[in-house]
Amino acid sequence: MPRVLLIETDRQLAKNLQSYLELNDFIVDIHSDIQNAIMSTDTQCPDVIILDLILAGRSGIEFLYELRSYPEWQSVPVIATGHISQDELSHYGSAFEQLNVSAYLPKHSAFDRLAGEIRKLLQPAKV
Amino acid sequence: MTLSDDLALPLLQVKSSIELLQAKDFAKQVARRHAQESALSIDSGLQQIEAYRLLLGSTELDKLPMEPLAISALLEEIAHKLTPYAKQYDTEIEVSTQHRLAPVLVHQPSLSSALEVLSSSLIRAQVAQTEAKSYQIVLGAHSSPGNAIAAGVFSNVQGLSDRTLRAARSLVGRARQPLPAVPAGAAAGVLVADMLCAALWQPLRAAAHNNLPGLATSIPSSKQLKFV
Repeated sequence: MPRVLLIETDRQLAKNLQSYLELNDFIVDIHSDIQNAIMSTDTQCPDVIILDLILAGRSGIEFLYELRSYPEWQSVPVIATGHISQDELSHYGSAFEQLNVSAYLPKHSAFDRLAGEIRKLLQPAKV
Repeated sequence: MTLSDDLALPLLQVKSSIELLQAKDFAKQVARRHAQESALSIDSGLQQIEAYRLLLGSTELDKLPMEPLAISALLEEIAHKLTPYAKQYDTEIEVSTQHRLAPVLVHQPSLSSALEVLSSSLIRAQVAQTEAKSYQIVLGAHSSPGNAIAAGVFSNVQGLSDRTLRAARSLVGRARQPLPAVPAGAAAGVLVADMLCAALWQPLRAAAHNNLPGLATSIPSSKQLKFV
C-alpha cells in the first residue's frame, strides 16, 4: 500500500484525514513538527507528502528546503495545503517550482479530491 | 487574518468529521465519537466568537455588571468545561491556586471567556509544537505584588514571552502568524484573550506558576470583599 506522510498542525484534522486515507488503502504517518517529519521521511520512506504550509515555529517551506537538500528526497511528490489567497499563491509560485511542489490544495478541499490528487501523483507506479 | 484562521479551524474539523462519516458505514459508536468531536469543535468556535463579542463590548466598561468572584472556583469551572476538549488533544487540565486568595470584583463572563479561549488555544498550540504521548496544562492563580491576583494558563508552549507578545500586538490584522511559535488556529485566541484582559484589567504577561511558564493577567483583589 502507498505510504503518505501527513504534516499537519491540528491533531483532529490530521486524525480525520488519516482515517479517511486509511479507508482508501493508504498507510498514513502523522507529524506536526518538522524535525520529526524529516526523521519519519528517512525511516518510513513515504511515497507522497502532504504538507501544511503554516506550521508552529517554522514554515512548511523550510521543511521543503531541508527535504530537497537530500538527494534521495528530491523527487518525492509533495502536496502543499493551507489557507492562501490567489495573490499570495502567485508569490509562492517560484518557490513551489524550485522546490518541486506537485500540487497546492486549499485546506478546505474535500478529502476525495485530496485522495484523487495522491492517486494521480502515484500513477502508474503504485496505484 | 488570524481570527479568520482560528474560526476556520473548528469549521474544518466539523467538515472533516462529516466527510469521514460519509465515506463508509461506521459503527454507531464511531459515528457517536465523531459527533461528539464535532460538537466540541463547534463549542470551541462559539467560544472564540463570544470572546470577540465581549471584547467589542468592553469599551463601555461602566455598563458592565461587576460581581465578586473566587478565582479558584472560576478556574475549576473552566477546567471542568474544557476537559472533554483537552482529551481530544491528549491533554490533562489541572487547577492550581494559592491558598486563601482574596476575592476579586470582575465582569465574570469576560474573565471566564478570556481564560477559556486562552486555555483552548494553548492546548492546541502545545500539541502542534511538540510530539508527545500526553500533555498537561495548568490553570493557576497566585497573589502578586500590588494587592493583585495573577490568574493565567501555564504549559510547555514555547515562544511566548513579553517581547513576542508586544511584537504580536503590533502585527494584529497584518500578519498571518503574529505569534510565530504558535500555529495558525491558536494565535487569535491568545490575542483576543490579551485584548480582553487589557480592556478590563491588565494585558497578558509572561509569567510562571510552580515553575511552569505561561501567560497571566493581573486582577486587582478586593480587601473589602475579603472581610464580607
